[in-house]
Amino acid sequence: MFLCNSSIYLQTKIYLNMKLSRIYSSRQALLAIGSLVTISIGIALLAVALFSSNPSYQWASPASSGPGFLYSRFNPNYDEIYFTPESDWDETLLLTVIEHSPNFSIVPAEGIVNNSIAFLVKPPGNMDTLPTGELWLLDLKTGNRNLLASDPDIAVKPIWTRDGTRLMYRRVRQQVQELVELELSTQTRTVYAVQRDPSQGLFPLGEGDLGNQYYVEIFPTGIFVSKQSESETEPEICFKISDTFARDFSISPDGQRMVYLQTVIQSERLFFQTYLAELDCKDQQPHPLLEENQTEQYSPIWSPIEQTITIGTKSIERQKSGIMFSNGDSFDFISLPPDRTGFDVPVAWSHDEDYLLTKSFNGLSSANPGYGMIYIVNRDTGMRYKVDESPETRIFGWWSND
Amino acid sequence: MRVQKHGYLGGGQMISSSHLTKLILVLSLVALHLVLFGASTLTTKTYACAFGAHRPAAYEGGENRLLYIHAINAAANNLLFPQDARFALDRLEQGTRYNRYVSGGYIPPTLIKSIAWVETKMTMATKSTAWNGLGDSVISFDCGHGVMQVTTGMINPLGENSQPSDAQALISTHFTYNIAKGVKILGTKWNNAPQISPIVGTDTDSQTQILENWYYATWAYNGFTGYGSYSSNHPLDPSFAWPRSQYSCSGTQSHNEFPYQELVWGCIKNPPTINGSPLWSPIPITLPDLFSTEVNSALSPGNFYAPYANMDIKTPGPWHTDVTPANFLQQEAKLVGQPTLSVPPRSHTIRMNSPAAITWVDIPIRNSGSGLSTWRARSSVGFLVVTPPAGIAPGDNLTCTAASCDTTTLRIEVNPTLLPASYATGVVSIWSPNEKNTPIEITINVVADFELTFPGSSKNTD
Repeated sequence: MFLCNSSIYLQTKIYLNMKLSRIYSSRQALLAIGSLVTISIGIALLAVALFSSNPSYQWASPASSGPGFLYSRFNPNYDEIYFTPESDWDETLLLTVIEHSPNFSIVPAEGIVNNSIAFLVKPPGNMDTLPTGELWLLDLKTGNRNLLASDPDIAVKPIWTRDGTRLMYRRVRQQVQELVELELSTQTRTVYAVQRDPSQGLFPLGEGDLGNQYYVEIFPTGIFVSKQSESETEPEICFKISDTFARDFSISPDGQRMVYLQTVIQSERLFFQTYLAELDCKDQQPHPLLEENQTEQYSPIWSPIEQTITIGTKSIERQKSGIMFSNGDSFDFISLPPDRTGFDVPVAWSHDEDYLLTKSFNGLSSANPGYGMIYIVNRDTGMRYKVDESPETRIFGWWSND
Repeated sequence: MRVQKHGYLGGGQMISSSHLTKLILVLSLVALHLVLFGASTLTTKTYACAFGAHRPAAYEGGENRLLYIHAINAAANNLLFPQDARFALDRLEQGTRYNRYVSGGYIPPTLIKSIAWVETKMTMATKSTAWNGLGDSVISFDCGHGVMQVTTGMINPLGENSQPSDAQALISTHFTYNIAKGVKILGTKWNNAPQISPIVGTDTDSQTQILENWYYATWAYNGFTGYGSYSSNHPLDPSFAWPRSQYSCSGTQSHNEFPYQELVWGCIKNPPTINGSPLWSPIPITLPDLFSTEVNSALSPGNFYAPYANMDIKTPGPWHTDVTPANFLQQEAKLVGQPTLSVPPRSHTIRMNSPAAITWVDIPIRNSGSGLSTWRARSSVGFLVVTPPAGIAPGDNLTCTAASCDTTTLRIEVNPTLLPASYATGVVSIWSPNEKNTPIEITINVVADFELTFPGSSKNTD
């Protein structure tokens, strides 16, 4: 007999001690319907239980087209994503909210590509103290969200490839760090770098001009830039960045150079200063961006068209704090207004390079910087406009919104 | 469970209508069981840990956190369980790397309070639990338990027969033991120096009374992870923003922006407030100066290897001590007390004479003494399932006013698929790890013999 050998059936038979031989066919149907209804209710309740924790959200499209920038504002259980149009810096439109695990903000990938933003989030309900998050893509035209990956390390921001077809991120599996390249159209993942020693580090850097993946490796012996190319099976260590500390690595839009901050000693104090390197991996010797200007520097970034390098500088002695950007062989400088203290940290240029987004700190030094507020700086006039003074914001970048 | 394949799937054997009915009935029972009992399990986002998928019950004190603060003040001075090696604060070492000597058992209480706030906002139970009530113990995905998010020794069940140990039950359910264990672990992190941890305070004899000297031990409480590593707490790690504002402990800044020890330092300086009152007196604790050549050199990636001798640093100045008094004797009855477990009727019969029959019995558990009684339950047979496997019963001297206080119950439920016969008997033992009484035994008789009938049908008289 069917099920006679089934342990499930036997156990159930013992339990119920059923005697079903006289049940008529109509009642069989009744019982079957009842059972199906029970199953359906069960499935429905399970579905509700399983999916009720997913965040519900609404989407508010920008009322008018035109360029502007996107940023997020932190809240303990969710982050708000805002759009501020270039036509009116006072207008901040709340596009949507992203729920997250308490106290863990979202981590944006810098840049807006194909009308989409990418970000990491530690989802609500995930109380894990380990920093595993999710990688999401948000379509700014429709508000649609797509979950791309459920294994990224939320401590390391994802990076777009130059053509915007792929995202690079770090993940950790059983203490093995891996850098992954995710092809958006096919959801194909390729692991292009592995670090098995949990005490050492891997950070995605970006895509070079020939499509190679560059990344930063941190060893006890120093910090190195490495390359993985399609034609080679083994990665190549290109050059040493630093023996000390380095950070804020950034590849130029053409994929041929990189800048970063590195600590240097001056008068028994340490400062972060900007270094520049070619990405050709041939006897590369990174060199300081400013040979003689020994000031503390912040957040080197590239402009999208001219590929000017932009840094923030902190006042030392008579020199005022401000923003410095390369102009051919020289540097232009926009200083803070006379009545302002603090310093600027560049974040992103507008597409036409007319405006620079900065985080402007009101404190006196890096050791006690105060709060970073979002400012817009007009490149031509040097005029500054405060957009948001929330204690914690993150900037995605500029959006053409056409 | 062994799964067998049946003929109709591969052999084309026809199924009779009665067999189909039985199959549907079995599936419906499974579905019903999942709906009634399984859904909560599926949505309980807990991995294995000491108690598996079940969260033990815990007592949550008042919103003012006074109970927890008293417990911390006592634990910081090793006054809670000095004779219990599982929960006593070890004597701490101090001195320079090559002149280390044993000192007293003392940790600045404000440091512990700040850690408790960063970990759980100083709560013992899940967010849905009412103040002065009972609820599920807060357990993180990496098995951090309770106020202090104790992870050490809480990953797997450590008792007999792969069951949780009594110590694990106490840590999960009882805030006093949880705090004592967290403090003990912090002391262990301190004592890891100089063998496997660096020292702060080469110029101050690394005195335990100085808050700033706890920088590395606090770092290690969350994970002594280096520059560039996974889950790094290194203050110059590239994953943290630079420059970054100081942590204000006000809820307006995310945790992933800061290394762990900066979160703790931020809350010491800026204590959280409850209804306008700060939880502790602010202390302007000093972080190491990352821009000094001494500190920067000490923290360099090349120095990050045991015994970390090159990472030893002076006490960041100006340094501070913490003189919070411990009034343990006044609070002892609430923090520890003399709990007495009380379980009325010792014998129950569960009759499962129809599919609609109630398949469980709820056993009220009381604490007729004072303080908190952690209780545990274990079944002698597989077909009796106890839920929760551990819990807490407050004594009359503890405020427990929430509705949840009325449901201090142990549910003993019959798993029908494991019943050996239509009539079966099992015993459930209930005991308290923080009492010295012998276990209480509850006898459960199960009667499962019945006939299935439907309205209008003929009763089977075979």
